[in-house]
Amino acid sequence: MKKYLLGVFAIALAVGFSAFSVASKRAVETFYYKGNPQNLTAFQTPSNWSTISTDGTVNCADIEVISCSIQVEATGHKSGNLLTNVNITASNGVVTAVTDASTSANVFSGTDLGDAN
Amino acid sequence: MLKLNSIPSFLDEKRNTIIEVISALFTLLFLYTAINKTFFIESTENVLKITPWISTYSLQIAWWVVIIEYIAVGLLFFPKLRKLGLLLSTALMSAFTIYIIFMKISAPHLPCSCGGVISKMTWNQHLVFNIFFVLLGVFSIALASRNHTSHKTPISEAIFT
Repeated sequence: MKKYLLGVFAIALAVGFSAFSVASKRAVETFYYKGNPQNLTAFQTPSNWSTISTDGTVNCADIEVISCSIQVEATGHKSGNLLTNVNITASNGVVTAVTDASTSANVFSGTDLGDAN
Repeated sequence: MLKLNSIPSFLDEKRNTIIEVISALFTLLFLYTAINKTFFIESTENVLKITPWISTYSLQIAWWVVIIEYIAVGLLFFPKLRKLGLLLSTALMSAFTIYIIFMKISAPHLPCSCGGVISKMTWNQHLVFNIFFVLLGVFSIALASRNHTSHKTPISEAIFT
């Protein structure tokens, strides 16, 4: 039984830590860009990102090296279907950071680069 | 091949304990990450989607990584299967490390959904973390593979001294 003691302890720790982190982790949603892809200011405006993929003029399949969609923690950052209460940082059409407008906490989970790959 | 004859005797005496501790560390790491990935598989998928060449199979790869992590945990739990578990764990960690190096080289300007489940780490911190565990795994495999016959006292010596 002693042989299994450390293993059981490690499993218990892992389950405990996981329970804590899973419970505290917020739901992530995908937001699609619907503004002018040539306008970096529009790109960084939260209200130009929508959870509805067809809601806009940008066709990501036609564009290279642009963040067509981003995954963001939606809790507290969605108004209707639009992204809100965040600061978006982008460089050359690629979103590099999304932070909560009040706390500056990172709420960014990832991005899809359209046809770039 | 690593020669362990010169390793201090206390390491040899504590061999089993060291292997158990390292196995427990791998169990903690892989079970924690596997459980988190199980509940938030889309985060892992999103990271893989921005990786060249594997983006098409991002969801399948994400699930296979989770399954292999659970298998490694299972193998590490049972003493008789522990060496196999350490081999699998080290191989998995090595694969993760190569992936991080590949991402740093091929896509340095892509946004960083860093660290996967160890989500507070940057790419560089994650790389150091992974390399540490790879080295730990290699060390534990070498210990587990050590042949004890060279360490045994010959019977004649045991009887007449």
